[in-house]
Amino acid sequence: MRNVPPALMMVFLATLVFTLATAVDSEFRSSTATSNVEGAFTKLLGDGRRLFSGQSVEMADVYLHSGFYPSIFDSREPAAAKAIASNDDDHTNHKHDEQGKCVHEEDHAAHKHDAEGKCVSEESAGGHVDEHEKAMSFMDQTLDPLQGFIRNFRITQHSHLENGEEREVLPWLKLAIALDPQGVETYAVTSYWLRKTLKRVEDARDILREGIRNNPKSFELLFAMGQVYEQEDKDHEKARNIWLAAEKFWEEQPIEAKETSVGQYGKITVNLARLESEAGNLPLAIQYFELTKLTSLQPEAVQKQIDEIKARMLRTTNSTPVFEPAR
Amino acid sequence: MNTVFAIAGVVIKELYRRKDFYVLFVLSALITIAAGSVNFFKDLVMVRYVKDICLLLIWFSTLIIAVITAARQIPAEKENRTIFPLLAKPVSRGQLIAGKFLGCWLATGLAVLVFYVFFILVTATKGGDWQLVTYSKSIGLLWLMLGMVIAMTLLGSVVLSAVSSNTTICLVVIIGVLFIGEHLNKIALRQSEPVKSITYTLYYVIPHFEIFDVRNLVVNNKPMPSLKACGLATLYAGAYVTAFLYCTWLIFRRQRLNT
Amino acid sequence: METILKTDKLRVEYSTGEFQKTPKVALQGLTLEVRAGEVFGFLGPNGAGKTTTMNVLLGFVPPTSGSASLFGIDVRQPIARQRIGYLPELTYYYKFLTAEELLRFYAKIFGLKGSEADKRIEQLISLVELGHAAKRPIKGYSKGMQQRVGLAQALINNPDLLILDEPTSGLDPIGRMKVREIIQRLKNEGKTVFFSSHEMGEVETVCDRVAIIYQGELKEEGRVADLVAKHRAANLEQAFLNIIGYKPAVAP
Repeated sequence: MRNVPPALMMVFLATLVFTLATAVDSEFRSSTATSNVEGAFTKLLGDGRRLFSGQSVEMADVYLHSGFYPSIFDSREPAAAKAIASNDDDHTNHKHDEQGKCVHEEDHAAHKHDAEGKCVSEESAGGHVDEHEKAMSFMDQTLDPLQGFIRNFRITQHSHLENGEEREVLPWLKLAIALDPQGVETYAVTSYWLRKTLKRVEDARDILREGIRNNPKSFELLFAMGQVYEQEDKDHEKARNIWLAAEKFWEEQPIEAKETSVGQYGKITVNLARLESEAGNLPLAIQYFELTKLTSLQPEAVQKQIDEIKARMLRTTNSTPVFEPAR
Repeated sequence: MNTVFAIAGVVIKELYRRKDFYVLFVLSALITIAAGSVNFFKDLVMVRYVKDICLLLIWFSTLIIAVITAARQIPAEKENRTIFPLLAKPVSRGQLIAGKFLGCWLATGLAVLVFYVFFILVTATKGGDWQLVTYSKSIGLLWLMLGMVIAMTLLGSVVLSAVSSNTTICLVVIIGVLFIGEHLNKIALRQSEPVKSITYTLYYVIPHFEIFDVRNLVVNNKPMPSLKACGLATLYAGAYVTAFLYCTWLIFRRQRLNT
Repeated sequence: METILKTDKLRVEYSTGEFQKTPKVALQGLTLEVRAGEVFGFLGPNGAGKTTTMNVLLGFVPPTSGSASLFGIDVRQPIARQRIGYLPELTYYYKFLTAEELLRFYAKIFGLKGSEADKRIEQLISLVELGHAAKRPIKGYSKGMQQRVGLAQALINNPDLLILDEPTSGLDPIGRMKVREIIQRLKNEGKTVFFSSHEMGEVETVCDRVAIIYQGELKEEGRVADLVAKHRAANLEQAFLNIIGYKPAVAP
């Protein structure tokens, strides 16, 4: 061994290491069923990756606010601070979590900005926007001299990304997905931004497909996919079938899980009802509205719509249901 | 001043002849390039996250360089006994501290410049703008903060003889201040006496390193602080550097150095 | 003759670090005078206080009482060290620098610049015979080479007083000879040399006067020949042993 030149020894060792690496790698790959990225993150971070995923979504939200964002030390109003939204077009379900973040039920299509970069909602100029601005008024507290000085080095005006710059949130959302492939909300949020703001329907569809592949029974993602088919492709048949599947998967959940996702169920049924109503299947539409009414926060409004359909039925007595609800 | 500059020159030579800087630079460059090369959705230009990651790495790396370089200066002089031939020359202990500080500060300044050149090149290739005024202010503010860090670490190095304990304590304090420094007043509001007063006092006494963190402004393309604000920040940093170096001198001038 | 180095009733105490314990006395009432042009040997067994005395003279340790001065200036003033050169017993220099860079660094401290510094560095590198290694980092030097770099740095300012702490310690016979030659040359140039050593033969060869210190106290001071005669000894080593009261366990 002493007579072996060091360079030759190095080459030998490098060859050995490379050979072993390829052998171990192929063995490892055949014994794991997870994807590479997921596997790497799981190995590296364990279940802690979900925390990082949440942080990544928050980073996306920070970007969306152009860096103007409250810290955990800022007292926040229990109203919308978070602007990352999902694919829900139903404004009636606009909710906020206990920390004041706007959860993923807000329609950002109606969330626009005026010339000064302030939020203006088409829905209600004084409603949602006021809440959101109030939530983001964490810098209005009384200043001590030091805090006043520090403000010179901080972003002090609330504005959102616009004119296609919303794309900047995507890397964080994609990272969040990689960190937690079971986080269905992130797929929905990402597809929403791709489709609604960046007009990249196929990318949005791909993201949802990836989400459904990783979470085959996710009624949330199926609902979002149905929206893509209905709104972008005008393919009502496909949308209906997907929503029916979504409804089926919601029904298959245990009771406790159902209780926490009634809002989502309401969204599925109200959209099915609307679809049936537009198709002229009025009795079926009524059935779906009845189901919606059970879970809605505003049952009177739903009842009003049922009454309107009944009035229509009286006018056109020969309407025949085409589909039976999948229940 | 000749003496101070001569000592500073040795510190700078030490930095670029050691491997720490290169390791951190290569590591930061690799991570940034890896992050920047990921194509999330083809033909979409996304630059902010690359800026964010790169700036975070710059902050982290230069902070580590500053603390490690400053923490070992005086203990290494004692341990390697190089302090004896040096102080046997007409060099006062104050000049030694000033030289060490200046050397560390200039050396980390050089490191910051190298890192920023890389940052500017990376953001330019990703379609970012050449915001030279923004970058200059950002570099300047980071450099000022590193000055405070170095002065504080030098103080630690004359109090704690072990380099590792000083480095750990300094990093914990600095990271702690960066995270909660500017929120201590809000935390104080939620406390009852005497914790409230103690927290408030801390809030006013600690060096607020986080003031100099303008990464959020750079990443989000927001206007940088005015020259007046930057000037005030310079005075603020200068005051803390002076205070730390003065305390270092007060302790170090009384220390016995036994050959 | 001008007094170059002076200590007056110098006392140094060290705290033992233990609560309420009496401090250790390293030096008590040391009074010394070294005059211009002298080679002065400072002798004593290990722990006698030689290094402590040098530490006080170089400003590393403050005296508990008494005073010390170089060229009439209190040793606590950095300017007192403007005209001295110091070679510590164990020499370690910035290992990432080359010998030339190290000398240039020390030259800058003394305000030597440009061609003046270049000339001085060249002279010293030639004096200590390190021309072949001057551009190599010190970390690759042998102990003897490091000692020679040490000597070169001690001479960078062409000092009037040279303080050498065990200058030949750990050197091979050739290295010792070279150091002795350099000391002799400095003496011939009229420089003052103050050095501590355990090598009695060496001291006898080069010193004009010696001081013998034991347990922090000055025991004897004078010319080598006078001390040998006073103690009726055959050489300085025997005189030294007599002075410190050493009794051999086995008779020679």
